[in-house]
Amino acid sequence: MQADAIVVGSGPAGVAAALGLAGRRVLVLDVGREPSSRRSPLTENVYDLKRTGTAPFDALIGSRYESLHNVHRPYLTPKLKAPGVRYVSEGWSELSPVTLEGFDAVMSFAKGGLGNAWGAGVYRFNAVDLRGFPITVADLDPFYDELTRHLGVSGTDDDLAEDFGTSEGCLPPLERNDLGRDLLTRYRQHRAHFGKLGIRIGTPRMAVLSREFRGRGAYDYNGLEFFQPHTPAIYNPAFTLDELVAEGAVEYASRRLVLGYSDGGDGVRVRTRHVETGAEESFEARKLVLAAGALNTARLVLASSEDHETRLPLLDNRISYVPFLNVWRIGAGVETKSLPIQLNLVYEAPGQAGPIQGSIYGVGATLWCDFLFDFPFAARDNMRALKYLMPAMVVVQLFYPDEARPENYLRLGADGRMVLHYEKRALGEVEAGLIRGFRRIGYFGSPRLCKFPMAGSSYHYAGGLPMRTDPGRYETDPEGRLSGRGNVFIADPANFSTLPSKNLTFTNMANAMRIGRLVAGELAAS
Amino acid sequence: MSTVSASAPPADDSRLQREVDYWHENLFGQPSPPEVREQYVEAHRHVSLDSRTPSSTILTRIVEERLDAEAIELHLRRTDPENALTAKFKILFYLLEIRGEYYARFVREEGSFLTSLPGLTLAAVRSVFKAARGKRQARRIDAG
Repeated sequence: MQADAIVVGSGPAGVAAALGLAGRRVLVLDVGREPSSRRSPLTENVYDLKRTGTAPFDALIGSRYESLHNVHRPYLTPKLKAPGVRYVSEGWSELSPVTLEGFDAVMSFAKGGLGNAWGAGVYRFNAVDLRGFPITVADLDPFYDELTRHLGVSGTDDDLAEDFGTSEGCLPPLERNDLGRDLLTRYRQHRAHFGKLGIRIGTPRMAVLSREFRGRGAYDYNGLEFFQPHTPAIYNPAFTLDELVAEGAVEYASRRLVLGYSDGGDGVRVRTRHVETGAEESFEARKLVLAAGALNTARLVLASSEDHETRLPLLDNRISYVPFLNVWRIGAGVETKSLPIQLNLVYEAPGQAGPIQGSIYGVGATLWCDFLFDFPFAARDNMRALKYLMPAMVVVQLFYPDEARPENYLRLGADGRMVLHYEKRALGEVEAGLIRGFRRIGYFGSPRLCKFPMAGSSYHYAGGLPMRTDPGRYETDPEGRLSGRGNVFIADPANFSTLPSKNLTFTNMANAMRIGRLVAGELAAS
Repeated sequence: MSTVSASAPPADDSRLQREVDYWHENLFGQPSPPEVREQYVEAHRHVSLDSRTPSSTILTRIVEERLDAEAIELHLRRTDPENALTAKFKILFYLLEIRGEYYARFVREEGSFLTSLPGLTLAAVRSVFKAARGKRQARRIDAG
């Protein structure tokens, strides 16, 4: 097929761009790693599997002992290290080699990209979040609405409604566990106290189904998503891709690693290498939409320009983890059926460029050994502490906003490795403020127990090719067109002008869909 | 930085078997279940700890002299969380966590604040004692 448009990548941006291109002939080029089909699906609750000892070793630990990753390698989130989900990030550094300087990157070459292992938080950017962007909320709203109907989003209006936007079209909110209910009740009883501190707490908006939706079943609170992929209740971009392929709306060419492109004015030529045979192929189309992930898209642009000098901005949501203990729940039994994310908070912390967003997690269905040695006692006493304290603990994961700074950059080295350089920045004041605020409601924390992972650990990357009203070289216009490259469009967060603290995936998709639709319009007009 | 390598040379299997039996006995009063012993050895083919301290010679001394491995691990973890003994304990605990007979040691499905207090108090007091003992024994074998 001679495509009207080639989309590179099948993550959230790639499939949303393909949705926006509906009606045109679309070819998606992708490496497209998929989960092993040999693995039997898990069907019970994670705790039941452990209690009865019936958990398949290969599913929880792995035939290559994948779950032990963090014993001897740089930290990987439980969402990416379990054997059943290792395909999501496995081998990325061979396909897209990097030199890391103060940055801890992960990329995905899976079908569905990092959308195979995301937190599923879906948040509309508001006017505050879009400061610095050449587009407005009105530009994105129709696409947020359309995607809400497509993904299936659970949520409701509460104290975070102003931050998260309308909940119209949302499914009912997911159920909270006892700890989540307790925290929310106490927050509401002390709303004035939190109001003075600039802290708001409420229900997450999540692409997790609270009831059956478009043929997918509701979430069953069994926590198996940490160990196996494609939980139907949790949206995965691969679902959309499969639908588009089945409808004949998209042709999907997998196993293709895109090496670069050239823009001849009346069309583009994309060079690929087959990841198994090594065979090189070229594909042609009238338009090219790059959605390979913010880092890899920037690499493709620099590689296609053979530019080994230019430094592009590197933006990242720095994160921290703040554990809290609810003293009165110490010793309570663990709730074995529970959603990991219980609540969200927004904190307008003093001295920060913008609001800080946080996700409040209860005890999860991961392997508890992931945390066992974080407790300060002897090994067997840590087991006791874990058993008695985990059900009383919540962990707040905070996301910091970011903006372009000259000291944080990416560039393509002469050896083909992409250099990701990020200067260390001290964090801690926001966490201390939060700890003081939570004390009032009986949730106690300590700055000494906070964790500050290296930059890059959020996997929220952005900003290499930012949208500007009047774009310069390596910038994009408000329609996503890469300046100086008439037929090349950037659809993923590489085009974000700044990076607010709010989780970026939903806006990534809405913006990609918007750009896809603009490209489709341009194709139709010509 | 350590690396994963499925083709890493097999470690001394019998040494590893003796080692895990001793860790388990030190922690739980009996040798490790045979299946865990095999898995522990196999895990060492996938998890490389070669560059970590203390050395295997010192770890062997802990086993042969029947020192308090749990106490030494606590002492080492406080000064170097990436030490080899803590890594080996982590491997063992991961293998135990998914076994039904250890479930109640990790998870409590019912309980109350009052019934947890004795256990937590014991854990805190015992750990103070273990820290002091670990420091003394680690010095004795030059483990840190």
